[in-house]
Amino acid sequence: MSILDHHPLNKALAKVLVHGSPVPEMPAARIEAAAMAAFSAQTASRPDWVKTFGALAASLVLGVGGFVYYQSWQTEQKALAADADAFAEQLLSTDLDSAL
Amino acid sequence: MSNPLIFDPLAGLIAKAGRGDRAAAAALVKAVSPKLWRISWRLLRDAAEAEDVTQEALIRLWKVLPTWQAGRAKVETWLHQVTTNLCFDRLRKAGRFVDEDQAPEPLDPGPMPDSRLHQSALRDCVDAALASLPDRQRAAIVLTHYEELAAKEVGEVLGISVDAVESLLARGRRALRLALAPEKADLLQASVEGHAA
Repeated sequence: MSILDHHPLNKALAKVLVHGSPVPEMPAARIEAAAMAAFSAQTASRPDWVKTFGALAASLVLGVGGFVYYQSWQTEQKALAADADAFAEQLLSTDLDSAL
Repeated sequence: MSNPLIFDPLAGLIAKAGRGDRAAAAALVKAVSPKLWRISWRLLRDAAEAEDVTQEALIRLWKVLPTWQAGRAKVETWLHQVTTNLCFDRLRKAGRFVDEDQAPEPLDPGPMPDSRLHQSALRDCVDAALASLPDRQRAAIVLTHYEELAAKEVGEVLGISVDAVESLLARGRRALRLALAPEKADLLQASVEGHAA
């Protein structure tokens, strides 16, 4: 409290204010029920949101990872096939008998 | 320079409620809602709107709970600030917000016939006098006189300095004294009777 608040006129005014204007009773049950419903909604929605986001993120990672892996595997297969073809070609074109 | 840590008696409940503890949240609502209701009713003078504001302030509390930093501010001060701002927003939207510089200078109504007023008439006089104050002056009066907050806390709630709070209070009290001057004798008598009762 400041020095101003201790002024006798202010004390009298404070008394007058308190006696002159009472506050109606708070609708406690409604306010508490609404507040707790909002609290429940928030605490329930957080794990759901986390689960959904987690599932989406996991799907994305798996999808992209799988695609990249498939692409690299395919490229590798093509390279291997090309190598095998080249080798076969080489074998066919080489005069093995004369070499042996 | 960092601010010193602020002791908050509700910090324990805040921490528990932040972890999803329903009992702590219910205890928090019981602890803070009566004051929020009183502040919003006194600023808005409308029970339905005061109920909405009290609920909205609590919903905003739930939203900040997960990131609430203990020791930075008292949760009650934060709630008072939110409540006051919500009330000001509603008054502005309804075109009922009166700024200090828009308010007419209070006039001394002069001596009135010495008539004894009934309690309800006195109440109406005080309500009317309070309602006639610019909104920030009314908020300063409500927070100081009714909710007994220190000037520093009122300053935090209204986002102004302690000197500015003192200035708002001085102007508000002057305006109230002038507005209530004709009923002064009845009001003082009523307050004495109220104390005796």
